[in-house]
Amino acid sequence: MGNAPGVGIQASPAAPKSEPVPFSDAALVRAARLGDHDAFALIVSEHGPAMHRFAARTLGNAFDAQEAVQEAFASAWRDLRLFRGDSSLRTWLFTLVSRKAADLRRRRRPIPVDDEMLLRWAASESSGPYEHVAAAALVTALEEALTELPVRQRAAWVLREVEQMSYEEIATVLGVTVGSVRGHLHRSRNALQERMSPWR
Amino acid sequence: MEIDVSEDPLHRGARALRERREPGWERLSADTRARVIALIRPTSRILTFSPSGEADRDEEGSRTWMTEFVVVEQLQAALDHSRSAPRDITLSLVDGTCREVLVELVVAYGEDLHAVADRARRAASQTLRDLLGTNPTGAIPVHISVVDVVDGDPHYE
Repeated sequence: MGNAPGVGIQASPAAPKSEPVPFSDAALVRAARLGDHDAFALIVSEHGPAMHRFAARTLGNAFDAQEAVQEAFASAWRDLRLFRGDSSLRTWLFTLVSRKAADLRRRRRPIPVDDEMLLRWAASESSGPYEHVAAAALVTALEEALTELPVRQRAAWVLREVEQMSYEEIATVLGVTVGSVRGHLHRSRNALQERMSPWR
Repeated sequence: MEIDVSEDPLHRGARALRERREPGWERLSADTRARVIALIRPTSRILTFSPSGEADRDEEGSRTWMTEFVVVEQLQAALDHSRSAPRDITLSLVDGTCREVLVELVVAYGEDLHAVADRARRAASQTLRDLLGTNPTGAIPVHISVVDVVDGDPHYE
């Protein structure tokens, strides 16, 4: 099994990492728990891009996002024996990266909220967002809007709307109740609808 | 990317974010895998014995130990089979010696479960003898639990 003895899972370096991994999460966890680095590499390939995306959106800083993802996977490798499948592997990994992101935020100097941001967008509307419709510009505007949200609202919105998690999964990842998730999502949607109104 | 301006901009934005790979992912992925390979999991050490059951030591009294991780990894290799795969391996350690081994197996549907368990037990026992020598308290019991039967290759399911 691959480079590690006995596990039988071989990461294919030639395979594009965006392609679905043919092994189930359960099989990969089973192998990685017993020391198979190839199996763990497949877990990284399968779940890492979404975790990276989530960390980047919630931290708003590429360097911190990379650190959070690395720390999360290091914890996952050390603690795989503790993962008993009560939640999905994806939810568990997102929980780890969410905690690492929270640790980084605590250590980092707070970034003041820029109340003038909306005014800048309103001004830029005069140059015509409808005339320059481009996915990149829309995403940039959305990312800026996300940075204005309180972190829980931002995380809840990203997990729901980008990662398409259920309310229960979001509650697990963020360590809050489902009711709290509903509240965060309600507020984040309202705020983002307002912020993104120039793009309608 | 195709833009449908009639769609809600939040939905468009969310979809664009979902379809996007963060810059630097390939490098981060490689760095993460390298870091994990360098990590050493917390592990206990296990005393080894000579074939005659004596504590394995040289003239100066130095003893030989194996880490739990090495033993589990080697048991994993020994227990792997095209029609069965270990899900978990637990070593019961007392005072630095291995007293028993608990193996959880996932087996392909249609296999003779008792035969699979017997084969796994023999393979594990041989591996334990090879790695840890002859335990003075007797052969290390290996307990097999078949915890799942899957339709197909147990490595994939």
